Formats: sequence, C-alpha cells, structure tokens
Amino acid sequence: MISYKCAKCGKNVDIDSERMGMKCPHCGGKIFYKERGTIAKKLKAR
Amino acid sequence: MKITFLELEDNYAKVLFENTTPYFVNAIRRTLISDVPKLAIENVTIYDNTSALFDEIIAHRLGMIPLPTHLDLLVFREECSCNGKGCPNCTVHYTLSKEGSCTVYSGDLRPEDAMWAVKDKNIPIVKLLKDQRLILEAEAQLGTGKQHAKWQAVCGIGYKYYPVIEIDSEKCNLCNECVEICPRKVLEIKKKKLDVKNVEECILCKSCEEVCKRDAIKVKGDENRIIMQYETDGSLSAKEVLMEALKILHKKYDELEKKL
Repeated sequence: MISYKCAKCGKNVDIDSERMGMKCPHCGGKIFYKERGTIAKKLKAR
Repeated sequence: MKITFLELEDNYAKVLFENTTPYFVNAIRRTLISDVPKLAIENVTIYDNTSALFDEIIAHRLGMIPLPTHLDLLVFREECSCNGKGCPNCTVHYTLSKEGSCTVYSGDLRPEDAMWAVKDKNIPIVKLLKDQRLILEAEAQLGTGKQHAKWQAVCGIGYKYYPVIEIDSEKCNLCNECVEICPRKVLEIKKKKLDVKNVEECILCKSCEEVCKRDAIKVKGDENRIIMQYETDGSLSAKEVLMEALKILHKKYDELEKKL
C-alpha cells in the first residue's frame, strides 16, 4: 500500500498499486501526486 | 622575465610579460585554468524540496555558485588529516531553509562562519510558490578546474603578442580609411599625421594593413612581449589567483628537476 495525495481534495489516500484504476474515496478524483519521502537525500553537486 | 600589471581590479587583470616566450605564458594560462584550487559546493543533503526543480538540478546550481576562498585556511579533502571524512580544515558547511512564495538566492545560503558568506548574493537558485519549501545542507570543499568546471577560478583568459604598429608617414596620404576600419579605434590623425593612440588595445586583426592601398601600415606582434588578460569568478582576487598559479608552476618545475 502506497500513500498518494489527491490533486482534487488534497487528502492522503492509501491505494493498492496491485489493483487496476485509482479513485479517491473522499471526492472521486482520479489524479494523484506521489509524496516525497521523509528521508534526507544525499547528492553530488555535479 | 618582467611582469607588469597593466590593469588590476578585484576580478580582472591585464598583465604584461616581457622577455618571455609564448610557451611559458601558455603554461601559466593552463595552470590558472586547471590547477588553481578554489572552494565549491560538492555534497548536498536535501531534507525537503517541494519546488518545481528536481533535487539534482538544485544541487548542480548550488555547485556553480562562487564561494569566497581562503587558501591559507583550507587543504584538499583527500590530503587532509581527517582521511577524507570532512573536518573544519577541509570542509565548509552551509545551510539553507526557505519557504515560499519567494525566490531563493545564493545569499540565502547560511555559512557556519561569516567569513565564508557568499559574495554574489543575487544568483537565483529556484523560485518557490506559496507553501513550497526548500531545506538543505551543503558541504563545500577545495577542488581544481581539472576535476569540474565549478572549481575553475578563472574565466575568459587569453593572451596575445604585444602589438607593434609601424607607420610609414612618407607613403601615408591621410585618407583616414584605416582610422575608420579599426575595430578598437587604435589609430588617429593628429596634427596632419597618422598616429597610434593606444597600442595595447590593438588585436592584431590587420584590417588597417589590408585597407591601406599605399602599404603605409605594418602590424606585427612582438613574440617576446605578451599581454594576458583574465577574469576571476570572485572566489579569489585576480592578483591572488596569479600568485597561486605561479607557486604551483614553480612547484611542478621543482619536482621535474628532482626527478631528472
């Protein structure tokens, strides 16, 4: 289960990636953002 | 060899080398570009970035910002007594924390000590909209232009022979064509005589020589006198950077001598 953010209502929604089709249970929106993880990301400045 | 600064500003210099050869000045030029160390951001830890740019692009933009470099206080990380872990002798830390709506500038990078504060404070890094955030930590370390362009302290460097303009005033009919065609406005007619106003400005393009129907002008370059000009990105001053390059070159010749 991965948590996505609904583009329409802004709520976090847990969606099973195994299942076909995604729909927000709160508003029915079909567009989602993948949220950034909380881990610090280390990069080379090149 | 004699070295004279024809022009010297903080970030710009025009230097005259006398009794020298092009090979030697080219060695100095190459040392200035690829061997003089300067400080630049190398490691970035991004805690939050909800801006429109990817983490990698922001890290790259941070790397290119010129940072003030005090070479007497820093050593290369690989040669440091901390064995490359990163200590105050080889690493300078910066933090950045901003929330939109605003533009994040290079001046928003906060150093651990005021002496490392970025001089050019108005380099844009990223634009943030409302509620977008950028929180990160950056580590700067010494490097050379050989490794990456962000460690190149000098830009726009070039050299030319010292121009020698010979005017045969007996052949010259004061047609004024050479004065008009010269892109650097080196020539002038003064008291009914063709004269050289500022010889150092001449770029040896020979336009005047070609336009003259009477062969009255000859432009040559003096191979033993060379004018070199360069700019720095602000991390080191123009004088410091040349002194450092000469030191490095000296060390290299010493090493060569020892090995022979």
